[in-house]
Amino acid sequence: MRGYHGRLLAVDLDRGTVEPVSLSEGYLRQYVGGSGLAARLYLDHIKEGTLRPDPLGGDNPFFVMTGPLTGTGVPAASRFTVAARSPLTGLWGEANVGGFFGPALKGAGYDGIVVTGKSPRPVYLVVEGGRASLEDAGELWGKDAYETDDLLRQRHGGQSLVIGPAGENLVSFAAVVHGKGHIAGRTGMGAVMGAKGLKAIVAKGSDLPQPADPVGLRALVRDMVSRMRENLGVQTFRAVGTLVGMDVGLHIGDVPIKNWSVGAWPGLEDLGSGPYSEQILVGQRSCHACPVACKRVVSAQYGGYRVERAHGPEYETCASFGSLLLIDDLQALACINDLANRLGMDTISCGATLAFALEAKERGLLPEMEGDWGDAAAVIELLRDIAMRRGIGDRLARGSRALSREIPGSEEFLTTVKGLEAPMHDARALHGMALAYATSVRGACHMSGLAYNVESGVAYLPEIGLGEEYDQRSAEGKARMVALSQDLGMVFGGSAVFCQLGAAGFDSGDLAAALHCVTGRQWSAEALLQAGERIWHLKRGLGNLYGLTAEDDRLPERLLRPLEDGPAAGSVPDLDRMLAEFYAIRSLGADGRATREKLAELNLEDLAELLYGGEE
Amino acid sequence: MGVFKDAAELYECIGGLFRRGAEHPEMGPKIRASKLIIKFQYTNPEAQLTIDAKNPPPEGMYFNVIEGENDLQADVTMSMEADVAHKFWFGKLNLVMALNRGMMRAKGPIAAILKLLPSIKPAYELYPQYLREIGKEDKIMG
Repeated sequence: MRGYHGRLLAVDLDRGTVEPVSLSEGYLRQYVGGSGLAARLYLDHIKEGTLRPDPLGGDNPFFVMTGPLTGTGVPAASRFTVAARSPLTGLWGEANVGGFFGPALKGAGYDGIVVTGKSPRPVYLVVEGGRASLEDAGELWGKDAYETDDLLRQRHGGQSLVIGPAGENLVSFAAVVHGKGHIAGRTGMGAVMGAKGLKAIVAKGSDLPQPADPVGLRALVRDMVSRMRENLGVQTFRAVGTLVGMDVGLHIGDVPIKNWSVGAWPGLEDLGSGPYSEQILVGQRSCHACPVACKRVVSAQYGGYRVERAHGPEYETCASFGSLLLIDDLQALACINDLANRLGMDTISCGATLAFALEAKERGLLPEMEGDWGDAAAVIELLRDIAMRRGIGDRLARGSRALSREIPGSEEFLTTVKGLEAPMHDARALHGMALAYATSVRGACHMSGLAYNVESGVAYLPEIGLGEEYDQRSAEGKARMVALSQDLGMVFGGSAVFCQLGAAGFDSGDLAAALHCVTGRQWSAEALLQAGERIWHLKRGLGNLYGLTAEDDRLPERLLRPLEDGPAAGSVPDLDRMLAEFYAIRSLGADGRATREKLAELNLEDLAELLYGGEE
Repeated sequence: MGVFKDAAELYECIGGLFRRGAEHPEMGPKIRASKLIIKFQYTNPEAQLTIDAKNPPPEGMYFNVIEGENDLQADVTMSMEADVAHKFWFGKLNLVMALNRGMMRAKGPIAAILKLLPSIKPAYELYPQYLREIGKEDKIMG
């Protein structure tokens, strides 16, 4: 099929070998690419190897996967996925990220990479011009992600994917870092790389697959870029980046404050796009072939820490280290963000874990916790302690769920779903997000589908039945909305791999047109939704295989407790109603598994066999 | 018919809210600090309100509120149906959706518009209070 190389690079770190393997055309048709294809290939691997691998073991295959649109010039489609079983949740883990690595990997002659085994000594992988080699990473081990990126760029040029000390030291929420600021943060994929002794991957090349219809593709790209320039939502991302989330969020009560315990805080206004522009912003950057340039470039100083023209904190980080910890100093937040990126940690899980620990300390349950609410200097020290696994940092490094299990009575203020710390959007303001968090395939996540975009009003998808104005404080219609948003999102943001911000103005028609120009295959909206449904059930089924049941499709008590103040005061989503409707739509049984019939309908008979075995 | 029977009623309700905002100790200084001229163009009924935070305001107010057409050069122009504006000032409009679907159109620097959002938060409580005071309880949204 056009648009693909049709091959994956298989790296075996036990044997120190690298070799190309062919990708089945049937899989490309059914799973498209990105995280969908990674999940399918992951299932094949574990069926032939260890069904329930230790997330930090050699038998947990780690995938880096591009999509068919990567590197084609289609705007807002530079992203790629990293995926494996998560050390943080124990379930299917994935994170995607933009920048320039995806096009470089594709240009190096591969659609993706699968890494198995564990290297006896630190190594890094170089992929260039269809060839690949493993190199000694002894000199790189211990260096932060930005230093590593600089050194590899000097040695090889090209684009790098690296881990920092947090990944090396197996911090459960360690991130994978590209280009000194593009972070694949969620679910701890940096620790998976660290456990394998894989410090980095360098990709270089320009051998991109030919699209099926180059003339049509050029015309489509021109049209898409033109519409992006007219789309107010997309232009807002261009103007202020993801900080629009703070500006709008404080109006509707979407921004969590003080470990999700209060609904109002004067400091919130100091974290909006206005103060950000005035105090720390010095420029903006884009990903490959994206006219939005939503990435912020900042300079800042806090205490002895200086940031010079570096990637600035996104909305999620301004909330997770800002409002969640009551820090309203943007200079400090820019420094905290820079340090977290260099150490290689997910800022959402890290900030949420610190917030949880501070509340535990406040209640007298964790007296050894350092710092206090609003104490940015303590956060900077704690980040280093977490990455190096020192003192209290060693306990924090395992994430808030693991810490909570050591502290009786702390479940009341834990904010994880399935072990993943909730992102910075409050389901008490947007009720559909309660269901989206509860049923996301990787734990609490606002990016595992398009539900956040649809419910917030960023996306408008009438062609798949999502054109109405949803009452954000109601359960009405939300089960259907979340399921359809997941189905399209699995292909749109998961497999294709479109950016959910830059491509927020695009719909299933744009996705189908882009896939057609690149691969030559026609897609209807129905076919896209069915592919998405298949992928959702596949990832969900992997979770079931690792012990996920209906009991896990819940929000923690803290996220459902009504707030006493703020725009979302008194509002609580009716999760039970939404879940009941969702289970019926998804053909999920009372135990949380999809029915055999549903899995067979989606060509997932092998998954059904694993989940049901000899059961009648 | 929409919420307002004519421009005069719109000026009384939304214009009145703006004038209250111009006297408000929290909202007023923040909008004044923006130094912006913002024009609101309404349809059904046709009307225009202007917030002028650039030129000196009258005594006791932080900015000017002007009803009807004028020659001021706007930094930001917001266009919408009067009913959409009414819903917005109750805090009941999904602003992101309204902007993305063209129910509310904005002309001018997006960053400047977003910067004003935190300033107008008190208006959501002020609007129903004000309508009640002027005997327009029937216009209060539940």
